[in-house]
This record gives sequence, structure tokens and C-alpha cells, in this order.
Amino acid sequence: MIVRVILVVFFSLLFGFAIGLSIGFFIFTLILKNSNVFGAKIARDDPRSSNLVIIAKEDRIQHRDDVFDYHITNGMRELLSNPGYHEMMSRSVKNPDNDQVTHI
Amino acid sequence: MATLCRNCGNPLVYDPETRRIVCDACGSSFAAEQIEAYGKAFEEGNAPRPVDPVTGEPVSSSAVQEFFECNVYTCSSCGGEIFLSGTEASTTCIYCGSPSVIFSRISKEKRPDFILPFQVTKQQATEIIRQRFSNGMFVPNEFKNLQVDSIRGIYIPYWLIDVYHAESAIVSGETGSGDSSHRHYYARTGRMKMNNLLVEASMELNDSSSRLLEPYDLRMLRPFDEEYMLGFYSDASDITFGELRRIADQRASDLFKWEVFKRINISSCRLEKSQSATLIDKDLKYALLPVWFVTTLYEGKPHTILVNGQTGKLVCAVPWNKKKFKGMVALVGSIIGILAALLFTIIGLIFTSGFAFGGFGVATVLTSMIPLIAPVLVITGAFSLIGFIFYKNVTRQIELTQAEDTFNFTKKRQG
Repeated sequence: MIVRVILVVFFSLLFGFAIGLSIGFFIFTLILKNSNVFGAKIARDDPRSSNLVIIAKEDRIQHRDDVFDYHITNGMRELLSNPGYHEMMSRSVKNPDNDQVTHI
Repeated sequence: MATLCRNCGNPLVYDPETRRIVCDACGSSFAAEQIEAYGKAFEEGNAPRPVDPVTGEPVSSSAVQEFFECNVYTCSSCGGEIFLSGTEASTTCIYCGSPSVIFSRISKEKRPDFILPFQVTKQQATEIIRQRFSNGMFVPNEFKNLQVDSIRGIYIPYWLIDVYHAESAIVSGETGSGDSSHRHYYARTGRMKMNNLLVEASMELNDSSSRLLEPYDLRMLRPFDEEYMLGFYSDASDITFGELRRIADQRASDLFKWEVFKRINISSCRLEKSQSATLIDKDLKYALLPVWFVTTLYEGKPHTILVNGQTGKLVCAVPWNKKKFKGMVALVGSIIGILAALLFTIIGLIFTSGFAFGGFGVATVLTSMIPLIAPVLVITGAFSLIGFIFYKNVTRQIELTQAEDTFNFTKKRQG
């Protein structure tokens, strides 16, 4: 009887402290994150200003590399042949990568 | 270049609170436009016409407007460089404390198109830092009692760019849950135009730090006027087109991905494959945006604290009081541990009571406590894992605050 109680108490203490310390660690790392880190949230670019236009979409396509490549290649071809892209191309910066940015 | 008070002859500085140019000596206050008009009238009447330093020929006023002059000071002790506009003179090096700061040269820097004047004063920035640190449970006393006399207002160079982004992507997401969950694949092709995307233009300032300082309210941008720089430091753009393209492409791709995920609206979304083309409009706009910097040494390591000069957003992560942290984890962990142990003892005794005639060895007791072991392991593992993720997050942010490039950036602009 005494052996049973001692063993049960021993294992209960073992499990209890494992849970207690892990919960304690969780609570105080959460507090630490809020206490010592300031302004860590990156402001996302405003999606309202992006004016995203989806020009092609297909749902539940097959999980195969050639199918993926087909959609990506066709999609890019369509995008790059768009008049808007050509107009933007004529107005875009074409300076070499090593040049320092300055007014053009 | 000299901007002196017309009433007493002392240097003028820009006051973010009143948004006017003020003289600390006699208390005179002027609107920026007033100073500019006064300066122009003086130049038209007295100043010699500018000449090209190479040919000696007079140059047009539009060419002169492409640049503005600033004084560069160098610390002969540590080599730090300071860019100052107006008559502000630097006498002490705040980083090394040396008084051997000497005028080095007049530098011609690219004239920005816009400037976002400081709206948070030095006192307000100091108060923000003090208040936030004093509320931090594990912020060491050295930071709570931080001497923020060394706070510097620096105008950071940014490019405002218009970006055209075209992307074709394969995205996947899950439907159902558990054994019935299924991953589906979606193809999306789209284009978008982003206006006035901010790209920080100093190669020396850590990109991650400057990104965290955003957002800025760009509606408050003003046409560039040197008077706004009185009393502040500044930096010049040294970013390359390659870097500008890389940042623009990354920002646009991130936004495209986020928007596509939102529109597909399915769980566990991830990008499988994509191809993109990003074009940057030639009409680049150059702007200076305000940031307060405080640099301090803690346990031999430099830490840089940043405050957005417009919104007052504080960006930094400070080391924690390790003794206090360990003590709190041990104390609260022990209390929860004892309570859990009491509960487990009661449950354990009930579970093992049926084994009264089967012996009471370790194996028997453990077997009878099996229903307890599984939840204990799951709970312990889950809390430890989440705690570890938080812990890594904090250490990563502290490394960013300790980043040498941010510290060196400030050091070069000390005054």
C-alpha cells in the first residue's frame, strides 16, 4: 500500500513538474515577447493600392510539374503580350544593376 | 548655407512640435517658406551666380537645384562621419565621447524631391522610449533608466517608386481535415500596379529595421526644403538599381501571394511555383523620412533603438533580465507543478486501486497510469514548443537591434 502511494506520488510529481514548467515557460516567453520586443510587426503593403487584376485562373489542376509549367508559361506569355505591359516597359528603368539609383 | 536668426544671429533649428523654424537663443519663430523667401531674396541681391567647378561657366539654376550642400564632420578619434545641414555644428562625438570632432568638407548631395518633417519631438520620442521600457516586465533596469541624451534625429533616404508587377503562380491549399484532408492546386495569373512603394535607399542601414519603421503617412510629404533639416542629421541614397529591383520584386510578389491566398480562401495555403516580371517606372521620387536613433551599450554589445519620427512607432528588442525570467518560470512552474501533482496523485491512486492484488512495482503503477502519461506528454510538448518559438522570435529581434550595420549607420551620423 505504502509502496503504491510512494510510486504514484513520485510519478505525479514528475509529470506535474514537467507540465508546470512547460506551462510556466510558455507563459513567460509570451510575456517576454510582449515585454521586450517593440514594433516587430511589419506593416503590410496596402492591398487596396495594388489594383490586382486576375487575368487567368484555373482551379483544382493536376499535381504534375508539366501541368504547373504549362499554366505558368501560358500565363506569363499572356501577361507579357498585354499592351499595358508594353506601355509600362517603355516607361520603365533600364539602368544596369550596378548603377546607383538617381533621378532619370 | 548659413541659416541664422535674423534677429539675433544664432543658428535656427526646425521644431517638430510647432512645425516652424525657431531660434533657441531669442525665441524667434519663422515659417519654412519665410526663411526660404528671405534666403532667395538675399541670393538674388547679393550672392554671386554659381559656376561649374570644372569649366568655370555659369550654370543654370535648374542644375543647381539637383543638389544641396551639407557639412560633413569627422571624429578624429573613431572616424565617424556626420552630415549636417545649416549652421548646426558638432562639438562632441556621442559614440566615443571625444571632443575631437572636426569639420571635414562640404558635400554636395542629391537634392530630394520631398521631405517628411519630424512630427515627434525629441522629448516625445524620449518619453515613448521611457514609457514603453518602464512597462516591460523583463526589461533590465539599465534600459529602464536609460540616459537618452544621445538621441539623434536622422532623415533616412527613401525612393518612392511606381511598380508594375506581372505574376503567374501555382498555389495549393487543403480541404477537409484529418484522414479526409486533400491538397488541391490552383493556377492564378495576374498583374498589379503599386504606387509610391517605399524603398529605403541607404545600403548601410539594416533593411529589416527600416521596414519595421513603416508605415509612414505619405500625405504629409512636403516639397524638399533644407530648413526642415535644421538641427537634424541626414543620409544620402547609395542604393543600386539591382537592389531597387530586388526589393520591388520581393514586395510586389509578397503582396500578390497574400492577395491570391485571400481570394482562394482555403486553409494551409502555400505557393508551389511562380514566375514574375517587375517593372519600375522611370519617374522615381526621392524623399527623406524622419527617424529618431538612440544607441547604447549593454553588456559590451551595441543596441540601436529606433522611433519613427512621424508616428512615434518604437522599433527595437532589448535583452531580458535573465535572473528574473528564470525565477518567474521556476516559481509559477512549481506552483502549477504542485497543483498538477496533487491532481495526478488523486487520479493515480484511483487508477491503481484496481491493482491491489497485482503487486505495486514500478511497471504496474506506470501501466495503470498510462491514460495520464499521453496527455501529459502532449501538453508538455505543445507548451514547450510554442514557448521555444516565442523565445527564438525574441532572440532574433534582439539580434536585429544589435545588428552592427544599424549601429554603424548611427555611428557615422553621430553628433
